[in-house]
This record gives sequence, structure tokens and C-alpha cells, in this order.
Amino acid sequence: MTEAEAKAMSYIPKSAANAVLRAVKSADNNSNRPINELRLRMNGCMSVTSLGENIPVDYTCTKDDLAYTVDKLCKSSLYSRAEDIKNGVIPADMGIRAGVCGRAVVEDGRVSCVRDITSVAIRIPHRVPGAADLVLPLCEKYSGVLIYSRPAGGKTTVLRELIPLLSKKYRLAVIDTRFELCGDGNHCGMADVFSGYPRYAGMTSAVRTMSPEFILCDEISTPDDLEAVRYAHSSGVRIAATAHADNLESLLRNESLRELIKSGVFGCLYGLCGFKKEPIITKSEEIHD
Amino acid sequence: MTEKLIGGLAVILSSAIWGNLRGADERKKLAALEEFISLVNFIDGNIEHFKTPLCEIYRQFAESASDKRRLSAEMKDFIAIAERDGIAAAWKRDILDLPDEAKPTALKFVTEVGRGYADDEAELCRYTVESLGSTLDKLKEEVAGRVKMWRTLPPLFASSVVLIFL
Repeated sequence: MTEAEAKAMSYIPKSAANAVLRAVKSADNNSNRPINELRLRMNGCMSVTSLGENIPVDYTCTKDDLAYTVDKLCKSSLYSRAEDIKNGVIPADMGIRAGVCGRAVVEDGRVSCVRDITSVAIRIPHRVPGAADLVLPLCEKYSGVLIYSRPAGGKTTVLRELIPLLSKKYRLAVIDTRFELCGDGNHCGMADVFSGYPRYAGMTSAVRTMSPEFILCDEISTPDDLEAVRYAHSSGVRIAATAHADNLESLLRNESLRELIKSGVFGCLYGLCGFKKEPIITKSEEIHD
Repeated sequence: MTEKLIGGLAVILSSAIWGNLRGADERKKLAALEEFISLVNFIDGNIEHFKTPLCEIYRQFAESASDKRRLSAEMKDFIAIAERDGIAAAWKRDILDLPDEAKPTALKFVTEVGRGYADDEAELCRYTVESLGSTLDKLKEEVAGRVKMWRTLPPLFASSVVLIFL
């Protein structure tokens, strides 16, 4: 078990952790099988994701189990993570992040807070040496690379592996909005890390203050994010970013992203198609109306 | 006769010392309660203004105490454990010698603190401070009387016993 896996296990009740270990063991005799995700659902079956496979765990989570897990993730200070919970993700130690959902309290059409958390998905980061080997030359060749895949498709892993490789050669700024790219910071080498910054604020601040040659940013989606990418590009900074999309067509269905790609900000698109499948590399000039 | 007198005096003296110690115990419990209230106030302020995580608040409380006020050894131990394992774990160690009347409110506080959003926490802190504050006021009057009683009653009782035997 890796350190991050052990840490993730410490967030859930002991009885649940034992059930997870039993489930992983019974699914496969490979004791070194990595655990990528733990899912707890109130009054529902727990599950664990390993190597892309969802394995049910013979354990039913109670309200107390979820309260225990959330309490541990928030270091017994729920109020200090109110904003993160509202955004749906609690960043924890070692780059672990926990997606949460429950009963939303809505004010003026916006979620003001989430009460009675009913599901927690603890995602455990894994170093995958070599995961960024194909992207690195693209990053060096093009002014921008956009990595896309469906959720949990490995975008963040690729970006995480890019950090040590790029920071060796370039002045690199990492916009780590959700504390998931740098984690404990051991692999970040000479990168300047903007931890917890909203993407727009992080990118503009990086360009103005740290004079980077490269910016890495995870999950760009909002108009603000795209505006920041455009600003960084027009300032002469190269960019590697990620976006959610199942395939190229669905990526291009996002009008703002399509404009950004066509305007040449991202010279190359790098699509991850799932576990152990070859990525799809598309040059932006190949994209026509 | 001299031996009896010396023995009698020793009994009276030791009962006076015992009474004084009991009185000091009562006052110590009050001081512990005052310290606990100041901790709750400190937590309240930090949550309201800075949303600081609890472990950080405990450390700051211990640090700020060295400048303005001195913490008792028990409170220092309590804070050290709270910072490491959480305030509920520290409470379970039974380090703080609070008056019995204050224990249910304090227990409610240590069990619930950190489990809600800022508004809930502020509410909890204010309720705890108010409740413990009124307990403290009530106890201050009672303790003054009880300390007086511990100081006078044991030596008086011992003197009467000594007189009977003499």
C-alpha cells in the first residue's frame, strides 16, 4: 500500500477500511493492486475503484461513518472547509481530494452551503512515471496543449507528471486550485506553485509576478478560466491545461473552448481515451468548421 | 499532659491545613473553569474572523497565553493533546478539573465543536460561554462561602474533639 493509500484509509472508519482491503484482495490476488478511489454512500454499498474497475465492498455506510470521514477530511474543522464543500471537493493531505455531495442550501440560485453530506468519493493520486512522456515533446513544440478526457480519465495524473519534467527546463508556474497537482510538493522540483488560487487569479498573478515560461492548469471550463488562458498566451507564456470531454467532438461543442483552439492558443489537443489505450493527438490546424 | 496538648494541637493544625487545601481545591476548579471559558472565547473569535482550523487555534491559544496570561499546567497538557488528537480526545483524558456543574456544558462543547459551519460554531461558542459564565458567577458566590467553611469548620470540629478527649 502506498503512503497516499494509507492516508486515504485513515480518513474512513477502521471497519470500512478493513472491508475495502478484503474486497480488493478478493477481486484479485495481486496484493499490489492500486486503489484509485474510495466511495462512501449513506445507507448504501461502499465501492472501491482500482485499475479502472469498480469493486463493490461488503460494507454499508451509516450516517456516523460519513460524519467521521468528513470530520477527518476537514481536520475536525468543517467550517474552515465550507467553501471547498460548496464547490464539491475537499482537498486533503498528499494530494488526496474528496468529492462530496449532499443537501444543498440554495440562496438566489447559488449554493450557499451543503448540509447532510450523503456521498464521499476519496480520490487517491498515484505517481505514474512515464505518463507525461508523450505530452512533453508536444508541450515543447506547441504554444499550448489541451489535455482532455472524461472525468477520472487521467488528465490530472498526466499534468502531475509533467511538473517535474517541465520544471527542470523551464520557469514553470503551476495553478493548483484544488491542491491536487502538487500535494505534498515533493515532485514539484523548481515549479512555482499557486496553491488554492482560483484559476483566473492564479494565471494572471503568475504572468504578472513570476514571469513564467510555462503555466500548468487543471480543468479549465468557465469563461473566466478561458480569458485567463488567452491573457497568458497573449503574454507569450506557453500553457498546458486540461478539460473535461469524452471525445474531440464533445470538446469542440464548447463554443468558448472551440474559439480558443481555433485562435491558436492550443496548438495541440491530447485526448486520453481510457486505461491502457493510446492517446489521440490532434493538431489544432486539422480542426475545420 | 504536655503530650496530650501537643497531640491536640497537631490534630487542630492538620485539620486546618486539610481545610485550607480543600478550599484551595475549590478555587482551583473555578480558575480551571475561567480558563476553559477563555479558550472557548478564543475559539469563537478565531472562527468568526479567520476560519482558522481548530488545531491551529489551540496552538495559537497556547502561544498567546505565554505573553498575556499564564496557563495552568493542566490546561497546557489539555491543549497539547487537543492540538494533536482533537479536543474530544483531550477531554476523555480527564485532565481539566472543572466543577461538576460545568461538566455537561463543557462536554457538549468538546463533542460538537468543529462539526458545523461558522454560524453553527459561533452559536455553539456563545451558548457555551453564556452557560458556563452564569455557572461561574453562581459558583463564585458559593465557593466564597464554601472556602470560608473549609477554613473554619475543620479546625473548630478538631478543637471540640480535642477538648472532649482532654
